[in-house]
Amino acid sequence: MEFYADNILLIVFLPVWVCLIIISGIIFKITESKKLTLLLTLLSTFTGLIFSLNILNYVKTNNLVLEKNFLWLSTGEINLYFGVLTDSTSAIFIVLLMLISFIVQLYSYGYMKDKDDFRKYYVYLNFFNFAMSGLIISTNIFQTYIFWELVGVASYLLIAFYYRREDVSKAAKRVFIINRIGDFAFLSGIIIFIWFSLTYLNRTNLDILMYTSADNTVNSILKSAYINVYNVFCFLILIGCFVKSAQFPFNLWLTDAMKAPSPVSALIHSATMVCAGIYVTIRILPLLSQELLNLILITGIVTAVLCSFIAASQTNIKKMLAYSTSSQLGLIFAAVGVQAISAAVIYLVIHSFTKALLFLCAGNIEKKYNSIQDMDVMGGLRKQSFYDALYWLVGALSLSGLFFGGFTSKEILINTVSSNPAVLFFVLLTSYISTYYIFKAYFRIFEGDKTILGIDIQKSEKTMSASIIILCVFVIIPGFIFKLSRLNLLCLLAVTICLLAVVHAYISSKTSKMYIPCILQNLSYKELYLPKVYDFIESIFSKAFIFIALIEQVIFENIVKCINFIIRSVSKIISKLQNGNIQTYISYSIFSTGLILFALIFTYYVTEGV
Amino acid sequence: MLEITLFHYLILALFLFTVGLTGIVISKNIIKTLICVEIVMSAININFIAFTSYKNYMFLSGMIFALFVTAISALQTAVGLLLIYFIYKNKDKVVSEEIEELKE
Repeated sequence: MEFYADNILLIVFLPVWVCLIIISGIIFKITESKKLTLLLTLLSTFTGLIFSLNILNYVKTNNLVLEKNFLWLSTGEINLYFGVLTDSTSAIFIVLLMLISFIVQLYSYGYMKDKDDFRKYYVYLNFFNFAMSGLIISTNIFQTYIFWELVGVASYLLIAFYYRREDVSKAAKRVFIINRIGDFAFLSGIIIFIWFSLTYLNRTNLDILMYTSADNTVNSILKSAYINVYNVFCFLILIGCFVKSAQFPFNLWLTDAMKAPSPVSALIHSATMVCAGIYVTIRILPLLSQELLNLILITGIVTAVLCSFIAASQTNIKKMLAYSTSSQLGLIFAAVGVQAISAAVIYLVIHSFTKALLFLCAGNIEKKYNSIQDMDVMGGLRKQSFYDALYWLVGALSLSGLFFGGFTSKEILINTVSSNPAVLFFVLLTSYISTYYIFKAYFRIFEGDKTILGIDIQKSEKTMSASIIILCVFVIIPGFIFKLSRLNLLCLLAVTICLLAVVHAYISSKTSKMYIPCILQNLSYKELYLPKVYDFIESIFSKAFIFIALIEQVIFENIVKCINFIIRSVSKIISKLQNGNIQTYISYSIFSTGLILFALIFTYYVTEGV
Repeated sequence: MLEITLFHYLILALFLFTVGLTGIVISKNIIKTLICVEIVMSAININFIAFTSYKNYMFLSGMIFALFVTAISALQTAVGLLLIYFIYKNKDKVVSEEIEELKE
């Protein structure tokens, strides 16, 4: 057991090796086999899974916090460490990452088989595994930041996978830029922390914020009288987390990220990467003051309600699922905000499985409809592929909290927030809307007697069905493993609300009306005008950039031209010295030797004073 | 009768050296340049021998070095002549001002 915990770095670096092997295979044209690529990747991920499960078991049973650090960079005043932190939280996250990676990699084989760049796709997936597991085992905030950026890069590469399509490359760029805002906030937070510690706490030989010694840091800060600066630091880090986890008003990037292939959405933009923000928030939780906890709570609640509200009227499957992810992450943030960590983690794990399942289902549906994602043209799919309907139903039941894992996790969440009636109200509201949209999607896609001609219903690949079935198992089983803490009135209320929502969804899918005020419906359909706002900001920036470009053209270009001209003319003169005649060269040599001799004699006379 | 000292030898060597150097720089024909190199070499030889016999006559290293210089200058002349021969064969001229291949 200890062996696995000692070699946790293997989980991080195995994907890198696989990456390098596949890349060298591409460069040296060794083999074109797609199966080999898949097997290699699966092998590495499976090894990672075995290791992480053993580590989770070991850490959990012995209640350990293992930490290893080595000094990476020391500037005299600041020490930067790289290290490995293994405790139950990070072990759970790594298990989650490896499990969903494994399933998605298996699924992707069927999904991406016909595409070119198949191996490049797997290179990116492995790279993502490396970055994400590195982020999870980070011991300090700086290491987290490095892997944070790497994860962003992996996400960008995978979103821009169909980069030849213009809308895809544009969306990927936007995702990257919005993520940059968060990354920048994160980095400025770190810089402020260093500055603050060096200036106000008079610390020398400062270790950058380690998660395990966060309590000590807090104590030393509370003794000093500069809590405001310190709050700014925490706030900036939190902004980074909010952006990464697609919280309002930064949630827009998640919808743009849906341009990625569906398995990627399942892996990165619903199950693992977007949880990075929550993970880091849990890590820095001891540092946060009550106001910041309230901020987390409010952001989470606002996101949960608004995003599920927007999702209710989306017609694009993946867009709807993206908004749903944002809103569910909002609920998790709310749980973190009331410091219910275990509830948050359980909810997160089960939500990850559920959402990955739904995304893979969406991938299946999309594949059947030849890459159409609009629910308006779909209908009656249940008759043609019964199993897809079943998978989606499992996912929907879990997401709404009616059955399976979703029920357990939602029950735990509701019980933890039940002391605060306002939060409880919004959680129940969110769960109502979530149930509504997910079942509406079910009724619109699978039920009804609409059959569209000219759409070929392909048979799904074996790997695709296998991976979906594995995910179904992981969604269903937790519903029976956790024993129900209290089957109380609240729980009954939640289920009743969800059932009402199902009825609502059924009726509104029949009549295609939402039965809510027209303004609200419009607002929801237009996504609260958020894209418009972003477009506006973008247009302002592009105008500013035109101005900057003008400056560049007028001033900098002329400066460069001027420098160019000077150097050119000087070198023209100098190049005349090299005339190709050997005697000239000898003259130079004699002249310069004479000069040196003269200088030597001169210095001799000066120093000797003769 | 004037006694011949080290100083006189050095003057002679300096004279020869200057003549050789001047010749190398100003002569138009490459063969002349080669001859001037030989003159420079003999100036160096004279220096070696003069210093050995006046200052350090217990050790003959200077004399031996002079022998080496002679041998090497002979080799150098041989190589130089060969080069000049090839240049002449290819370009039909031995005037150094017109050979400007080093420019490129």
